[in-house]
Amino acid sequence: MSGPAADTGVRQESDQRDEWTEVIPADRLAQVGLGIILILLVLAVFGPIVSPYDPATQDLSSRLEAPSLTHPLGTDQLGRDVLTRLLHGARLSLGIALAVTSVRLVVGTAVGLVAGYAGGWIDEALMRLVDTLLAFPGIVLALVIAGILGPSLVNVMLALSVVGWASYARLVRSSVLSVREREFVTVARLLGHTRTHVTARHLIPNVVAPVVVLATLDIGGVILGTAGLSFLGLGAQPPTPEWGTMLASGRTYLRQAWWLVNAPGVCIMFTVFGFNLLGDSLRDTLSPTQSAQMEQL
Amino acid sequence: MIELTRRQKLSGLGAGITGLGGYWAISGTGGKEDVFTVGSPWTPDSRDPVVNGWLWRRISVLEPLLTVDYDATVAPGLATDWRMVDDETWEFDLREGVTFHDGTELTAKTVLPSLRRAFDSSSLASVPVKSIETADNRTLTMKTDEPFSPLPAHCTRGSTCLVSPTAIADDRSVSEPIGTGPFQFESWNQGSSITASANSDYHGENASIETLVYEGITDDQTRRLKLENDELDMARILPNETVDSLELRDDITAHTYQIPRARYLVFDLDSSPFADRRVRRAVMHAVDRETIVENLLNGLGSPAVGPFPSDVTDWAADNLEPYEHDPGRARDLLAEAGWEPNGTGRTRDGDPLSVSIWTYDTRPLLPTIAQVIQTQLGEVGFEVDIEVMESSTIKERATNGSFDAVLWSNSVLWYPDPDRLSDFVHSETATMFSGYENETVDRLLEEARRTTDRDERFGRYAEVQHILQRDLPIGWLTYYTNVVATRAGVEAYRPHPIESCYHLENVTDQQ
Repeated sequence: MSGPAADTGVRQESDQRDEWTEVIPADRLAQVGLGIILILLVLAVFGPIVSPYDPATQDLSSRLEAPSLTHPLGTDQLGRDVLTRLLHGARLSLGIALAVTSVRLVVGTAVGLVAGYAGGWIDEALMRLVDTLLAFPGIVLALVIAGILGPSLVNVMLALSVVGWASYARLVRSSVLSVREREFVTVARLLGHTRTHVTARHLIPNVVAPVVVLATLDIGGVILGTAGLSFLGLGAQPPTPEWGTMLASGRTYLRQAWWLVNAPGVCIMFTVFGFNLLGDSLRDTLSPTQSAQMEQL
Repeated sequence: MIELTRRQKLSGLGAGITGLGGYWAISGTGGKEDVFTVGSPWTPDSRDPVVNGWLWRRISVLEPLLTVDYDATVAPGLATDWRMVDDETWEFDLREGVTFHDGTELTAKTVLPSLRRAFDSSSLASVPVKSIETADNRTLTMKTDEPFSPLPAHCTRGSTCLVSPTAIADDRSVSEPIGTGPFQFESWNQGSSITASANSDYHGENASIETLVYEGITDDQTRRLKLENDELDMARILPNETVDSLELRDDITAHTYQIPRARYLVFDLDSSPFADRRVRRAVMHAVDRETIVENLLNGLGSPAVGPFPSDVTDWAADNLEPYEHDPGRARDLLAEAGWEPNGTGRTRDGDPLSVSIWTYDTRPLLPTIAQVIQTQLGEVGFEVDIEVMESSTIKERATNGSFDAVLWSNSVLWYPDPDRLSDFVHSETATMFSGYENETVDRLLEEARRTTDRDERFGRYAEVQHILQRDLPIGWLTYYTNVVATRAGVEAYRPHPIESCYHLENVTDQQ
């Protein structure tokens, strides 16, 4: 449940809009995080177009070449340009992260709204399911699911989506619980508005902010999860240039070709770092009053 | 959520640093006296010879009845001589003056419990031994259900290693590896290491190493780092790419030697497109094995012709015709089989020529080789997907269902008898999943199993190899070269082709 700060968690839509515009320029850390993400986005979108190499074309005569002007990050064990593969990998990683987070967000929010608004046994049943999911270490559960489904990137996305929505449901439900007793909701219902209308007009706007913050924080985790599962061989199949897969296959050449592991490793680190910085700052700045509530997630 | 978030952030850093992580050498322990440490990828999981005997044998704690010579033939071990008395009876003369580590003398009577236990076990279920009896104090008689000439070769296997009768409990479990080898068991950490000490009562020449430590280290980079850090005196099975840089060092010697192990493609003969022999042949012509050896294996190893590498064993058939790298021929074969070019790929009756190659990554080079094959097959019109799975998953799925091709690696002679071919292609006993059925091959394999005459056997196995070369249920890609590195000062180490034993009792360590 939402604790002492629950009531202050309610705010009007218009207030939030003002804060959104103020948040980002105000916070140095957020700027850094946002900067990293923007750079990554630009690289992911335009990098593969600019690169003269193909991420899958092998050139066995120039394998394991050290970084040089022709190959700024060297070549891998099959003579492929590491930078090109990283850029293609960025598309994959960011794409997957956004997709998985969106699924988590939509499913989690829907479940949270239903549980919070309907209450009763529905609430009880859904929340026990959420409890069960939260009780498992997410990555372990994802590992099991991906292991059962078989190795592929789609299955990794499925696995990560299945395990991650519970915290959204928790968050949304607690916000809904506090909002639905407020006067403006009661008034709306007395005026004869349908449940759908009340939900769309009055409940959702009040839970958007914390959910967006959670999603930003979550993206980093998803990127890590994808890379981790791929590293373990459950994700992308060769020759797909996924960061985790690159890390895993480069590990064999750690002593001969340091760039093979360091390049994807550093990429993963900066990406996760960027999203977490932004998420943290958003959480702190967006609604100091909500912080206490968010702490409990 | 805050806590989780911080952890996420930290683990984010962690993932990035993984790359750098292995880079810093693991801190050394240093200071070791008369201890010889060998690191291998396999972990000691059991002290039961039937389960893990091959490992205890490699470090010379346990010994079997017969051993394998450096030319991959059967040689005397605890039995000095063996002969076939009649079609189904064999006699083994036991060595004199051998005692187990607990002082029990090795006689026909004392080896019986251990030997019977081994041949009753599931790991030797395919060996048709009917009974084992003592003829006299020094002679054993083994009877088989049918004439079975590979029997001596099976008596070299680790699971047949002899342990003292005192080590076998009433329920036939073995709790301690009390053997006859030049090293005797001291202690172990299950799953990681074994400590053994020199056996001063050894029946052969005593070991010069006083204390032997075996470490099971799964990761090859870790083995290498530990060797460089002087935490290991010998690191086994290092990646081929390490040879060049190891050879630059004065304090490390790299040994490379060919072993009878091959990487190969198993085709599913029961499903399209590989049910058609022409398509299988096209694959073998499309794959450039020279390039794989030169570039991916660092020139160590050689392209495979048939199952047996002729450098290691005499059982390789003469005049096997290799499949030359010839993409043009591959395209012709595919066209002949009805796969016509269509865009970048090929189709037949509207079906695309797309195949999926399954492989596993516990042998790190396999997925890399699969990607080269993917590209090379792509050049003649195949559309290839790679799926990397656990080897056990592949085995299960390929045995129970249809597949296209599996990239696999296995020893072709892990007991020194060409009857091993039965495991690959005999229609009933094969453990490789191609679904190959050929009455002539079955008959030849069975006949060769019944005769002990070497020339007759060779003729039959050679014929089998020629038929296989035509039919291609399995496409042989490359042979294996092992890399073992030792610290300077380690001398008299001689790599064994079948690796049934490291023979560390012969090794001296000057430092």
